[in-house]
Amino acid sequence: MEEQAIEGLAALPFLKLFVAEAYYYITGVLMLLIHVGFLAYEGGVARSKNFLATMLKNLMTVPIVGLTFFFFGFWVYNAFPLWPVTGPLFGPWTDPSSLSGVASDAYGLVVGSYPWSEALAPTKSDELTGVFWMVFALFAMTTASILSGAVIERIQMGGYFILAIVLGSFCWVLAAAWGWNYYGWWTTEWGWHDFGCAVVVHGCSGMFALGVLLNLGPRIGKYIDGVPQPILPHNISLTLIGLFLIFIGFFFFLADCVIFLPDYTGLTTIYGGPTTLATLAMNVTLALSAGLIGAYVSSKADPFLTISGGLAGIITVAGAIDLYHPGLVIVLAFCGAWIMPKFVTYIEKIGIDDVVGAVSVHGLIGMIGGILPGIFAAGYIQQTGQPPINLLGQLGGTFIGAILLGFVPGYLVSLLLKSMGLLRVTAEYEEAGLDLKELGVAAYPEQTFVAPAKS
Amino acid sequence: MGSPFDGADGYMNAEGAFHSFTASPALGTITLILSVVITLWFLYRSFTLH
Repeated sequence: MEEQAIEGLAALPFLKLFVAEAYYYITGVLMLLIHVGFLAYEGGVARSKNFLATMLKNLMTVPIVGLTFFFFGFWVYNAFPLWPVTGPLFGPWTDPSSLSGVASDAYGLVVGSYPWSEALAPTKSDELTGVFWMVFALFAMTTASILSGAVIERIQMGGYFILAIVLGSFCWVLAAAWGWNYYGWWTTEWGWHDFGCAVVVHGCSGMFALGVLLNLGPRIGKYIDGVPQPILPHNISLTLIGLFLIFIGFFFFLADCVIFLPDYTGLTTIYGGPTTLATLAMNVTLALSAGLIGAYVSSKADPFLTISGGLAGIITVAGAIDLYHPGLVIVLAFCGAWIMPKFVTYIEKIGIDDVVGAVSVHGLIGMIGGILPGIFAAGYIQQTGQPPINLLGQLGGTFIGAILLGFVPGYLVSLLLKSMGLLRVTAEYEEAGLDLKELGVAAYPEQTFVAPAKS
Repeated sequence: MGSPFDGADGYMNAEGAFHSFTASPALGTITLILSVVITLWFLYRSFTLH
């Protein structure tokens, strides 16, 4: 009996490590449901002539961002939290003996983030960095996927890949280094709080999409004499199921916003404050529910906008979903989702063809979600010596994250691609459909037409 | 409305409620009433939207 107890105690360090490792592994893999959802969602929204090309473009977001996030994205996240305000930019050039205090602590994570790091290779000396890497890589893929839906049916595959790399493996990662990081200077200097990445993921990617759409232009036939024309989804059921899968994936996305390490005595936010899975279970479910009814009423029961409202509800409260009372979550999520269809209509009216409403659902609602903690969760001091959560700090982080790291690079990189003829397919390709022209195969050949062989 | 804690320690080591209405329970009640009103309004609108 005593021997068994001793053996049990000997296993304890491993079990503590394994629980943390398994938590991130399982929730990380289940986060892939976001990508299943985006795949189905975009495929359903596209016209049948662009179905396969749309899904393939979305699918390839996973490898292109996954690989580049391995090559440099994870390093960006760990290298930039202090720079340029509270400390240096870390890299292989950094002499660790020259560092002290917070810089020394932060540098410890950088050495595990290089592609050649032992921490990312099979090793028994670090069993957590790899699962953290996977979770972050999936965040990155999610961010790029948000852009993917906005630009379907006319963007060049290669042009999209370049934009996905810039957004998914650099822009949002830089925003996360500054605003979703224990050492990030937005928090240490401004009191910034964005638990569920309202700005860092959604605001940044949605506004990046806006910058791209300004250069990409609308699909042929979307506007006649300046008046927007409906281009209906070819498979609304696929779209609705896709969005529901995204909802499920976002439960896991938010679960991965929680920090849980082997020696912890409780769950924390990325900023070190307390949180619980029960909080997320309550508030995410209520935000989803309130968002759906808000968009249902506002859009007069438009199926596409109603289901997008679930996401808008969650994003509205994502910034401080760890601190909001359930009653507040319902009210805010309802209001955010109620206004979202108005944004969609306005964006369409001014000539921007955002096929899935990414600018409104993620960009504008994400910015609102980033500002709200400055009003409804003000005053929390997240670490000794830091300023409290405040409106000015939330406004500052939202501006940098959504505009300077989202809209501006989206506009500039897409402008460069456009000037090189790499952004948009030809009118001939667009009118004939990308499935036949780019892939040489149709999605539904027996129902529509015989696909000619690819020459 | 806002942090119920004076400093970082109280928040970091919170034992009980730590939401932003902890120090103002009336606001929790008001938002819950608003939530019910919103839900009832939604039910009403579901008969009149179409």
